Amino acid sequence: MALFDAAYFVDDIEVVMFRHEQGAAHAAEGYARVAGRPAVVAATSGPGATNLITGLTDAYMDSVPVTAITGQVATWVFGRDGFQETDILGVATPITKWVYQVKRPEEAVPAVRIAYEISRLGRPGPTLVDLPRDLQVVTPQGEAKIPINVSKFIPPKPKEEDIAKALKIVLEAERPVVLAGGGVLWSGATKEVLELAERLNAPIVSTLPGKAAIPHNHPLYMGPAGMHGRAEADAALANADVVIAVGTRFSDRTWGRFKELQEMIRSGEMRVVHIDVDKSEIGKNIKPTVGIVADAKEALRAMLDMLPAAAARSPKFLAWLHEIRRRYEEAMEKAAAEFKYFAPWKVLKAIRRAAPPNAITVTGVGGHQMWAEIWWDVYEPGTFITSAGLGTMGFGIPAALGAKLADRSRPVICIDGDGSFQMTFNNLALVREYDLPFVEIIFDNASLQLVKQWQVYMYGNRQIATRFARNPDFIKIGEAYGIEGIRPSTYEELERAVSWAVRNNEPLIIDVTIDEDKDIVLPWVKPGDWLTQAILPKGMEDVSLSYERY
Amino acid sequence: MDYVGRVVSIVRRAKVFVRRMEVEAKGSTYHIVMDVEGPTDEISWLVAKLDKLPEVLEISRLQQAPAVAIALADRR
Ligand SMILES: Cc1ncc(C[n+]2csc(CCOP(=O)(O)OP(=O)(O)O)c2C)c(N)n1
Ligand SMILES: [Mg+2]
Repeated sequence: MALFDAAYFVDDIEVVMFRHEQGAAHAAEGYARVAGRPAVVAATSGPGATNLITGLTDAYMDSVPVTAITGQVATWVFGRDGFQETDILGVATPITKWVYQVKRPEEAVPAVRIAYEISRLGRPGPTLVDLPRDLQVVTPQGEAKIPINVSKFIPPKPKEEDIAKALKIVLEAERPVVLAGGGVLWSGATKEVLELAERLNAPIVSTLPGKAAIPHNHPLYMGPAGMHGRAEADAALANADVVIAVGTRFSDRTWGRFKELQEMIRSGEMRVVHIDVDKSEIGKNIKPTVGIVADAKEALRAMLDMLPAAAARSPKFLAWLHEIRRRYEEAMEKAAAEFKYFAPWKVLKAIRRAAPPNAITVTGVGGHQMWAEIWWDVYEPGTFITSAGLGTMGFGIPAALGAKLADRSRPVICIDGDGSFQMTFNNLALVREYDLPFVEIIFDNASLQLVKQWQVYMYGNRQIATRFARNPDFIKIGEAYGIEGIRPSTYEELERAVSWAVRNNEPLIIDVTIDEDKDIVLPWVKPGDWLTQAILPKGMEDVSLSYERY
Repeated sequence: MDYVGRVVSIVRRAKVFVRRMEVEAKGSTYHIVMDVEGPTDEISWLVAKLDKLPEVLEISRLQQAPAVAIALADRR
């Protein structure tokens, strides 16, 4: 209370009131990803603070800078289960970069300053400052020193010998592949990644967060690899003899199975150069051939400076990957004809045609998100925002609001699921209240489709608790918040609706009916499978993702 | 003990066996000495992960077999 009361007297802090603290935390993430700096999210003690936790965990998993301030009971009731007391430090400890409970009034200002600073330094992440009620009303006598070591977050310079080792490996490669993670985006290393790939004539693949770092119209970009990656990207990664992995944590979602990968590295079949700003990421899941602890941009620049001119590889590997792409797109075009209503990937194509290149796209979590991973074309770095590491349903709407708060001049589009929508739509109240229009597109398959897909394939088609027998009327929900809505019946109508909303900077809810029985996201590398075992759509039976057999 | 709690939360998740962990307040800092057993790579990872905590002012891997020593700030 006292903290907000103080905000009453301050002009240069914009207070935005969300309808749920989780929403506020996701909005802070959306804001940070667009603005490139943290927003502060504040919540009351107890339930307010615990409601932030999903958002902070999401930020931790995806390395997003967010600073949280939580209220706390007065210091004299600590540990005695006072009304709305929660040990938020204990709760937030494993999901924050730094967490601090202010114990003297003199610590409050430096603690918040440090928390803000730490959240953005080096590999970004969430921080939290807990402010007990009694300390909020005391005037501090100066500032206390909080002895911590912040300098460790300043990325070290890449070691020359590591760069030389990496270059040697890269130059010996026949099929080098550049793997771009989310760190490429935070480091601003898109240009360097593209330059390295171009000079090697090497395909680029990305992780799901890394998708946002690479313009998809670049001829060397194969798309994201992994559980629901592009077939050509899975093929590129699995058949590379050298992988230059930049700003990525070697997630099981990208690689499917570590055993295969570790085996390949041990046998020398694949060599890995791993560049990451976080030294604890190097060797965490796989032991790279060369690990470089440094800022991605700097390390890549150092490599580029020493790379000889004639380093380009043979185009045969690339041609093979492009052929896989052609076959996949052809198969999906045929598959679309079987849909009575909308095919999710064609919906994405229609939205893309209507949205300008600088439009910011946010997603929910589920099948629609995986379709977006495979089919949404990113043109400008930083314009695709998704909950990758935690996979938090309900991320979309609040993150869209946060993105719009960060840059009101750009259109914001949320690709959402009907399940995801229902988790956080309470925050739609902010659209009119704060004039934060965005286009909310609901992939309405009356189900928790992605989970259902697992039931179909992995649990003998036993479908339980994944169908919505009765969905609310999403258009009427929009109406209640003063937002127009439509239920298009053709792709043209859909495209026109998005164009209208974008052109007029108007909010719009688009309820797109998807055939739930046909909505199976492919390719799919089932959990625990290796990348070349990806299930491909009908019509690709003769396509192998192993290069040797080609 | 807030900071010690943070250290423990990381150690818990490493694939090592903790033989001994001693925490001692010295001046304004806590000193922690741990004996851990596990694969060398895992111990290196644990040290790197602990070193990411800004409240860890110093960390070193002692010569004597697998011990890890940590100095923590601020006696929290
Ligand atoms: C908060 C949360 N609860 C549960 C899950 C598990 N989960 C992953 S995807 C999914 C289904 C999502 O449904 P919807 O938003 O409608 O998307 P669809 O898969 O139908 O496109 C569920 C339940 C999750 N990721 N997040
Ligand atoms: Mg759904």
